[in-house]
Amino acid sequence: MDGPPVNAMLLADGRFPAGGHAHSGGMESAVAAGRVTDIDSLARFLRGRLSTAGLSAAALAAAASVEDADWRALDTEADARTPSAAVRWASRRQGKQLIRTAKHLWPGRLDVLAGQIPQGPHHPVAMGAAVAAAGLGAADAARCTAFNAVAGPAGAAVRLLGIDPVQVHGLLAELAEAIEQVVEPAAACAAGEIDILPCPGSVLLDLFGEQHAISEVKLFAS
Amino acid sequence: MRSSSHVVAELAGGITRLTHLRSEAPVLLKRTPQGLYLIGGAAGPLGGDDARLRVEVGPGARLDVHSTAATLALPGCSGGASRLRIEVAVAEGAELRWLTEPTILAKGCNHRIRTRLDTDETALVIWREELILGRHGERPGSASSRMDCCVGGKPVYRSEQIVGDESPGWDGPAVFGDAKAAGNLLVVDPGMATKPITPAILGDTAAIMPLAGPAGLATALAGNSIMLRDYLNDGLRHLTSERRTQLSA
Repeated sequence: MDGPPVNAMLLADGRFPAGGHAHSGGMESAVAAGRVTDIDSLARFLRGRLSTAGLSAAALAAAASVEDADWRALDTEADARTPSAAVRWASRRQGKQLIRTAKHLWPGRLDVLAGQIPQGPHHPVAMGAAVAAAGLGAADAARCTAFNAVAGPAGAAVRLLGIDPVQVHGLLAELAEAIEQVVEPAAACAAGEIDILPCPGSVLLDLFGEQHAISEVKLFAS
Repeated sequence: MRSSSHVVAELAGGITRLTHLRSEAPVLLKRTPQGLYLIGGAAGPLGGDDARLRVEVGPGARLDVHSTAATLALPGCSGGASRLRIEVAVAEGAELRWLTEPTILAKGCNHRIRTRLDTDETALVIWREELILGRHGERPGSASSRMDCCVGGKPVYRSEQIVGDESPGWDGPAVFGDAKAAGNLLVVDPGMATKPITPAILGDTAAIMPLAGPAGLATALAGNSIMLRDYLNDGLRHLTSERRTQLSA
């Protein structure tokens, strides 16, 4: 765990060429359903997403970053935590693209992961493995993942609702403490039994994933 | 109140018999011609209660589980949590239908449900769970219900529904929204391994989802328990309509 801290910034940056900008994390359907309409409902959406899908993903990413992590078992755990097939597809697609880029930056074990899960690992598993390859630890993996869980949909909301990006970034700054409250438990269980990792569900995000898959006019891939 | 209840269903001479049945309040078990009934044997669950229930369905046996009424989770005087731990093992070729009534999460409750469902790859399971988020005009207390379902030892569905301010944003537009009732109907069917179900939208707040394994889930949110049950009944029809594994009568 002696990689430069800036590696975590590279991985969490929305400009990292891993296709994250193409996914809205349920935001596009939430807007279409009239459930997110303004900065207040966006704030509630992001808090809920962070404490459910964000926590679940952060814990998986932290577990995937430890030495000798069983990536295949963690990938199965990610499947079991993702009831929506559309959301599973989006997660694997982003995981595959993340590994494709990250293995050029930090060659080594990421080829092993790509070989183990050729259809593309779930995004949190890919993120955990990439963070480890970048020489960083479980808390970094959890933080990059938890941040992504809110920054992606927040960016999508700017495009979908035309809200002031300064206000939206203000929201992300307000979430800093809440993100750390997810990072701490996620990192704490990284080296433990994987079957007891947290699995908070979010019914609306699952429904949004399914609704998006059948919607005909859309800006985002998920 | 601490309690431990245990039931074993086994196939003998072509019919299923409950070869072991032991129960303690508040989770009383009663055998009926329609299957096994869970009966609330005390008020609550109240904060401080710790109930365990173990259910074993032996090879080839079939067990239907119902309850006589909704469960009302209430706060206790100690402020502690009420706990219900359910452990279920379903053996090869066995069938379990768990169609109990909803759990109502009253104001101030602190209720924790943990369900572990281990099934054989050849077993068939239908499992319904419904949570009512407060009585009429009331905000619920805190609660969580975690389901861990493994088929042949492989995790197929793990999900914890968390209600209350311990999970920020729980009543916001990513989780439960303004729903008053939330439920799932899980179907584990070995036939789905070769003939997976197709996703379907049942309404604005309900969908059928094929899980990553031989199982499917109907998930729904609704404004009340009746609308929720309608969605889940619809889901049950979808998930069992195309014949996969032959259901016994």
